Amino acid sequence: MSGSGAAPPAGSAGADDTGGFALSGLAVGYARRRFGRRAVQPVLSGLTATARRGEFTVLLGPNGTGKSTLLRTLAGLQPPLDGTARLDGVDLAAADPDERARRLAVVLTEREVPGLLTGGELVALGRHPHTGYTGRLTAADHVVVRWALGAMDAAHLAGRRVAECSDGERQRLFTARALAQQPSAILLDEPTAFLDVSARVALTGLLRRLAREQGVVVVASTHDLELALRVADTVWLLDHAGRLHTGTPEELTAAGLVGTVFTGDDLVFEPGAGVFTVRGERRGTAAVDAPADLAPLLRRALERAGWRPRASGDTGPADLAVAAGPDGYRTELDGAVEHHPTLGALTRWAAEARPPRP
Amino acid sequence: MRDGPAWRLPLLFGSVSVAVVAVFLAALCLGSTPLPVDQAVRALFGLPVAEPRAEAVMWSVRLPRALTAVLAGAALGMAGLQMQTLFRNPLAEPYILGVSAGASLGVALVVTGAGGVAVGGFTAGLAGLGRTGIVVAASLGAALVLAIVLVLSRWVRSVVTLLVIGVMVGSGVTSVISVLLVYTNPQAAQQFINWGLGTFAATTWLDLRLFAPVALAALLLALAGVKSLNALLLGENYARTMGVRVRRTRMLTMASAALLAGSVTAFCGPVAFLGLAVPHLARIASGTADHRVLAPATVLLGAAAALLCGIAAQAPETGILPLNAVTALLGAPIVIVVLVRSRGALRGAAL
Repeated sequence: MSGSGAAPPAGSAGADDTGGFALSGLAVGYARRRFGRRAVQPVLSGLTATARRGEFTVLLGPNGTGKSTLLRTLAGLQPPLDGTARLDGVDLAAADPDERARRLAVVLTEREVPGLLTGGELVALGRHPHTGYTGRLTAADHVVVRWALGAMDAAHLAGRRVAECSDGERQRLFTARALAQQPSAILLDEPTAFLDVSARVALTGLLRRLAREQGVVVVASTHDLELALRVADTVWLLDHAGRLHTGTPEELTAAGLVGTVFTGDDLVFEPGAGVFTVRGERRGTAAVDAPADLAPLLRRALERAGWRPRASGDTGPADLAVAAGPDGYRTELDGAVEHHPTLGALTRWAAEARPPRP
Repeated sequence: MRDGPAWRLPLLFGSVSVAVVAVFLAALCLGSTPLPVDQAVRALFGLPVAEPRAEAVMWSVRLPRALTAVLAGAALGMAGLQMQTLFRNPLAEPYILGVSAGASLGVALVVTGAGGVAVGGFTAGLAGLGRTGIVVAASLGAALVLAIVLVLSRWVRSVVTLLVIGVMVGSGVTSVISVLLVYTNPQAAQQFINWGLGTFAATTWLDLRLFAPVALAALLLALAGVKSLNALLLGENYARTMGVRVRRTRMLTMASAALLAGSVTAFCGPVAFLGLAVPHLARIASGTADHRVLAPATVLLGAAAALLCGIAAQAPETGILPLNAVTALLGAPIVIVVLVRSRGALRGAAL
């Protein structure tokens, strides 16, 4: 499956052959010179994919499949072993460093900064490939810095020491620094790692907006599969065999690829909901009778305890019947009726209870 | 882009410049025979003075000593700043690459008259040249170690490995010196130890004719690299993605820092602590990590600090103190204050 089958979303104006990233036959990995001979250790090879302007592209893959190696190669931190990565038609490996820095900016996982550096100074560092010999910032440079801070909702952080910012604020500043390079593409390595849920959602939303409104190619690797499938325009999915699948989240899900790559011993991907559920001991089916606000919680609690709750509206036979009442929960299992005063008590009981032996 | 009061930088550079001039004048006035300021200035410009020896003292002792202190302080401060940023380590200093150890080895070889059959005649010849011999030997030693480290740096990717290599080369060279000193006569050993204490007072005009151009050229080379140093604040990977040619920058930074530290060591001995403490002083004073501010501030503060240390070492009340004892007494509290003040100290991010 290739990215060419994906319909460009509304607003992606530059989705022609030259706009954005184009990987063709790219091989990434490590080359060492040992005793004069070049020993090549490819991590991934034969990668072909595109990432368009104005789109948010997410690189997904389990740990150890080579996501970081691929991003480091695209960023120019290590040379490709074979093939090319072009950005707007320019071969990145052949471009000179200044030229590449004006086309491509990177947010790495390294986030250590000197104690005295302020947010504004950090973002201003992004002007490096545009300033002259002394690095002096012109009025135009200051305008770009303010614009980048604003685009990442970080204008209020300009005067703060970066070392004193929260992880989420720091990540927004580093992204603003990348934006201040005025690149046509931004690569981000695990930008949402270490962030709490709200910071993660906020950053992801900003990245998506960045792609849309500024017409930038945004490629981010992440472990946050559920969020990625919800917000990504295009997914680059690396499987365990080192193959790169591209497409919209729905295409890849429908083809069963997301499930195949990520389903493990303990987790099962539910394609319809786009979420993972815990695969545990199978105890039996459960019927839930509860108000609409409580029913999903009850189902999830039962699911974690190893029961398979019936979907709402499914009135078929079940091994366990749970009903929420005004003063607690009533369970009926194999003819035995029990009463549990709280949701916690019910959950603990459900984890211990055994379905009837056939 | 700097935020904060607009008057901060003009105030900083104004007051530090005034301080440098004031301390420079004080260095001209104070010494074994103190001169009043007006007498000192008159002597400086060759006008008639009450004290008959004043002009001779001024022109042959005080002025070269003060100029040496200015150059050495500026050079060591700048080299320290470069090393701290390059290695992203607040404890890095100009001699971290083993340059002073190399210079010391050269001097030890000359002073002790040691060396194999091949080197023997050469070092003996240098020893005969007295002060010039010591300067040449220190320069050669520093250049040798610099060459080794630079050659190794071509193959080494990690800057931490480079740091360790510099420290190891320095340790190895130092141990060779210890062996040399054990098998030498006490008088020669004492001469070497005296050299190791550092001084601004031994420099002649002839020395300055070489020292000044070398140190100033290396300073200019270092100041030309401030843009790259700023990009290196986030580490070499970020610098690379911002268009910095990291290897070339690393080579130029190390070469200019070693030239600065090596020339100071050749003419003044291994003057300690200024290179470590002055950049921190500049950070406290300027409150920024931006090298376009830090570098000139470090140069000025380094000059002022070296002049102060020189005055303290030559003060009439104290007699003559070893310069390195003074710099450490002055420098150690500063470094401690910096580390205590810095919240990032525990993470090693006190830069």
